[in-house]
Amino acid sequence: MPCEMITLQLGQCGNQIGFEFWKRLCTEHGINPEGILEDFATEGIDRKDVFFYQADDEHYIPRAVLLDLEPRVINTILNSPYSKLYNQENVFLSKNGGGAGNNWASGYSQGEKLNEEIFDIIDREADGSDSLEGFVLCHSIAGGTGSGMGSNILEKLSDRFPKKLVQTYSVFPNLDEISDVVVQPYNSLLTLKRLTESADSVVVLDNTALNRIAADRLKIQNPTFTQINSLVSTIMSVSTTTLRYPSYMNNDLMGLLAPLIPTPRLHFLMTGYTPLSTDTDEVSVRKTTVLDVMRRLLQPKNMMVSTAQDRSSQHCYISILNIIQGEVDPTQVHKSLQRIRERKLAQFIPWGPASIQVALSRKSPYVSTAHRVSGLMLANHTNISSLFDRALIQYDKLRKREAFLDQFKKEEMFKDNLDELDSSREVVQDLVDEYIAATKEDYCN
Amino acid sequence: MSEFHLQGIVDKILHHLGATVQPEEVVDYLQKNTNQNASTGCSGVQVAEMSQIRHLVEKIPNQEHFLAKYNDLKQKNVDSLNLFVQLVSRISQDPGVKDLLAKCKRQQFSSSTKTNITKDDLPLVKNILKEKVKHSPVGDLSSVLNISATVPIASTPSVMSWVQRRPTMSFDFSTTNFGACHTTVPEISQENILIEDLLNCLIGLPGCYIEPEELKDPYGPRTFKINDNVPVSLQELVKQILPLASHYSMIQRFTEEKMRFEFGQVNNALAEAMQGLNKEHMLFVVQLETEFRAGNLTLQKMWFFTQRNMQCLGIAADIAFSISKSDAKGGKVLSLLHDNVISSIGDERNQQLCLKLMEAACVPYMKMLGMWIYMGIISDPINEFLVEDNEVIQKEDMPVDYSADYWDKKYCIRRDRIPKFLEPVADIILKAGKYLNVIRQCGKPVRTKIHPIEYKIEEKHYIEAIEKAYMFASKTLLDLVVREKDLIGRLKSVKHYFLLDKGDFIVTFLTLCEKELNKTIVDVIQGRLESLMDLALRLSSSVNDPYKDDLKTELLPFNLQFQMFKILSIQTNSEQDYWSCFDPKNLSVIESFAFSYEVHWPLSLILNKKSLACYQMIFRHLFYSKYVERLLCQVWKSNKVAKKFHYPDARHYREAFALRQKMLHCVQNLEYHMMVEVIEPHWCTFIQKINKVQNVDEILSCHCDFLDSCLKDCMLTIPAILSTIVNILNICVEFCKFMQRMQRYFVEAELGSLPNSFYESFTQNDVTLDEKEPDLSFKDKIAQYDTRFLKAIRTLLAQINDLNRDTSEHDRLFNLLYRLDFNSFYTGERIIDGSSG
Repeated sequence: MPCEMITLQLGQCGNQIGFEFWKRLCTEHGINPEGILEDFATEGIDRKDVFFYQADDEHYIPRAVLLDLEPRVINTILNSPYSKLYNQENVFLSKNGGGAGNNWASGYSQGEKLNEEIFDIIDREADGSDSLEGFVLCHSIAGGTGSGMGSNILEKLSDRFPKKLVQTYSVFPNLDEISDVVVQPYNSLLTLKRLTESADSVVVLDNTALNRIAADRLKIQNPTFTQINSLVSTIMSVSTTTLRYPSYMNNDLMGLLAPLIPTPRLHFLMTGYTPLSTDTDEVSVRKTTVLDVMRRLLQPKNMMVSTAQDRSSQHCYISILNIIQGEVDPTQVHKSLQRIRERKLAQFIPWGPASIQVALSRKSPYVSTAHRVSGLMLANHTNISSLFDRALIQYDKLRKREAFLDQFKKEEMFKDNLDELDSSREVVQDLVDEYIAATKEDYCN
Repeated sequence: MSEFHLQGIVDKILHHLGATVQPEEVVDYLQKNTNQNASTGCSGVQVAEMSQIRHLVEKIPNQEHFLAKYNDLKQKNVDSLNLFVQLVSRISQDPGVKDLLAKCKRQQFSSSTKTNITKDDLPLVKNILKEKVKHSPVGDLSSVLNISATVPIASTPSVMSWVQRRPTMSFDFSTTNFGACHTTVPEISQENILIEDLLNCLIGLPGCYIEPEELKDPYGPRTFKINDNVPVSLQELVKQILPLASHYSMIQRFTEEKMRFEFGQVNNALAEAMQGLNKEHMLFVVQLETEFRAGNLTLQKMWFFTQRNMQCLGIAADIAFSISKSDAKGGKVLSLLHDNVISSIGDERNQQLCLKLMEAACVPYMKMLGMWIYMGIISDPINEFLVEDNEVIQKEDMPVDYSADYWDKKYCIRRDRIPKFLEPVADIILKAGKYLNVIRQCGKPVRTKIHPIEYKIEEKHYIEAIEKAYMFASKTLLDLVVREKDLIGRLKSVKHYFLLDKGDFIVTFLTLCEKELNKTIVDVIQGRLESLMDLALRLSSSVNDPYKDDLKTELLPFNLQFQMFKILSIQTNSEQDYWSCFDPKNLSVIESFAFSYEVHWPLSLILNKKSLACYQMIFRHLFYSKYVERLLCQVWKSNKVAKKFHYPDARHYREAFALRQKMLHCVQNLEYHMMVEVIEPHWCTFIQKINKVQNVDEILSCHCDFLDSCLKDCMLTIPAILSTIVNILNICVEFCKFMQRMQRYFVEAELGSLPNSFYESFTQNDVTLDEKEPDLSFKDKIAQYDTRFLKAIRTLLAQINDLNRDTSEHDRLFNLLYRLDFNSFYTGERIIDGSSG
């Protein structure tokens, strides 16, 4: 069947959010932790085959590949009730099990070495699908495995599958906390280059913003990884509802992403979701009308990306897609759009037509929510460059001092010179420049 | 009058006039104008008629003749006399028509010496026209009699009336005179002879002194001649009694004639009832005679005795007269009787009599009615019943066509045959039987409780029964269609495919037959499309649809725009233009492709050919948009390689990418508008309505409304906007093809050699350069596309903007303006253009 997606989960963070994601998909499709369809879900109108396939014994198996260089997280998954869900052949653990030591270069070179084994798995998965639409990669850009090995896999994917789409859910490090990973700026920068050049769409999940949202919106002072990850899994599952619950439009990833990403490099997407609630807190947002949801989605505080509020530059939306779920009347959507336009709640690029595209999507019938209407925003906003700007600044600080480079120099790539770092910096700088240029009317000329 | 019938009449008139016009056009024209006529015709008919008559009379040389004819016709209760008078008066005021009629007349009666049509020919013209109008049902009758071997006709012996064969067996003065008895008898004895004569006359035998005169008019009242020798005093007394004899004569003539089967069951029944009256009358005469023999009867006494019956028979005779005069049968007879019943309110005896006659006459009709509304069967050999069965097409011949015709044409009401008292329920009578027939055609037994229907003076008796039967029939059919045949499920299935509600199916289908769709219509094998469609059905979520196997493919020999214009240009002058400038050979598959859907009886009543055609039109529009969207997305996908370009070089492609974005934005917003803002809300209201409907006709009209509003709001019915949209989509297609051709060159230019896998994606699209192209650079070419696209989209925005804002008709379209130009990109720039230019 067409439009299948293969999910690759890399490293500690990638596997954790992947785990939450599959948990959520299972409940939405009525599949129990062992991969068996629940009795109440047999008459479904949903398309499970985008993310699952059926084994010979009718078990639903996720099209997921679990990759890590150290066994801790994957072992947790394999000891959870969901252990039987995954295809054991798709779980790949490095034999030495030592991890990447939070070092991009180590992760990258290990990825290079394990390349063949990893792509055996990926090729097998790809061959097993009728018409593969693309890959989803979950990872963080700060650590070693997700960033380093992830970068390597990204490069290889875009070479081996040039016609497939590669979408990543990339977790950006929390800048409010002092990280225990000192080389984080290097890792981020090097990964950013690959995300720019090899990924087709990057959904930026900024830990800073996720923590802030957990604290401000959900009133959780010290959010756990699970709580944060459930936020992420919400984003991931909602952004794929139109694929899984087919309706008139947006039934393939291509059609979903193409309008969001007019020029190929500017493919870093922000997300926002409202109303947010956790299991403990029943209703934190009481009124949910379409207008309410759409207005909230435009508020920076609901964005899962913390961007600097820079008044001087003319940052604007390149494109917006709102996926609205629930009982929605199209006339309400229209009225909301009118209101947003009248009040100028969103600024758009001056060089092309842009508007808030709305996709009305069905909800899973098996998951009950307290809210009448909920919405996810996928937005391409030039302001995302401020995130890269920060990464550049942090990188420059470290680089100026030539700090912590020893570990990098141990690896093949950096043995002779640090050109890779410089070229990555250049790519990221170009990206920032292009985002700034996209705010100007003469972007196209 | 049904369209079918109308067409027949028009055909005949045209034939007689020797005209070459197509009857269909005339029928169309007539139907369009009927409403206006109806409104003018209804108000103050009487007044208008009188003034028209006056006008006509003023112009006519021999007025008496005309007026006499008019009154005669009026007396005969000729149908739509007033309308006819209108027609004649219009003809007299319209020199063109007068000339035409004169010409035709000359052709027809070439021997006639008259060259001009004059006013006094009008009755003649009128008669000719009237003949034609009046004889058409008779013609039908004869055809029915000849062709249809239905049971009642076959078993009815075609007998000549015995009265005609044996005129002397008539009880209506068959022998005019039996011997003269002009002998002068003393006046005193004359009374007895006169009584004897009268007793004879009262039972239809001639007397000595009283002789029946020859009838001037076969339906006229009989008159008698009294011998002049009879003294005046006795004569006067006899004259008082004689009307009874002429009443008797009238009734007897009526019964003898109307007993014949070709006058219809209603007349037969009435005649029988009348005969009963005559029988009573004869008994009365016998009693008189007994009295007379006992010597107790004098003329005076006799006169006194006859008074009682005089009025009674008088009324019956009147009725007989007016029925015979107007040559009424079936419903019309009942209407006349009903009028009599109503007008005799207040006079109890009269009313009793009228009611008795009415009830008797109604029996066969009500039986027919019962058969129809309880079983859906018409047993009406003489064409009396108000519902007529036009056996249009046999069901087996063409299942789809049949359904459309079936519903509209198979059964129709003959307005001229409706008895007055059934007029308000005529429509539900038609529907009741029609529904039952559908149920029967599905092979379901119809189980109804049959209540015999009788005519009563309180109309609630029969009206209630009819309404009950109708409710039953409509509920049963509704249950059958909605529950058993799962109408809603069917409609949903149709919606999945024709209105693209199951997007993943369309995506799958488009992916599978991408190559096929780009071919021209002559190069493609339909079977291949069909099997690809089957595959797509099984691969997508449609696999759960129980009706998916009814979906078929179809390649139409014209594109959508052509089809729409063809439909919209009917009745306009440009109709021919579209035909001429069209060559189906060059059509690509995507332009000619459509789904079709197999529908089975009885759902084919609702999903009939016409509505499927509407679905197809919407589908083709949506499908083409989807196809263009997909092309653009694919260009986007192959363009994604540009992120690997060097930053300064990549800048050169931004313009092309931005243009692609504009196009995609436009196409997606059009789709959103059509699918989310138009089709889905209309669909929801439609489904809501359907859940509340009472009968299948309502479903039909709801469905029709739904499709109409979808067509309208998808802008398919506004030719100017449709052609702009098609133009926009075509520019997009051209652009996509150009980008696909260019892809290889610019990738090579920017990245040098590439892994082979990259080429696969480009070589599958034909990389052939047009001859004209090389003159322009990539940049210029993009600029050219950009200009064309901007021009087209601004035209679209302007066209939508110029639509009438006063009515709420186009409200939804204005939403599209907002969406297409949300950030004032197009209109904002226009202001700049305006200031610089």
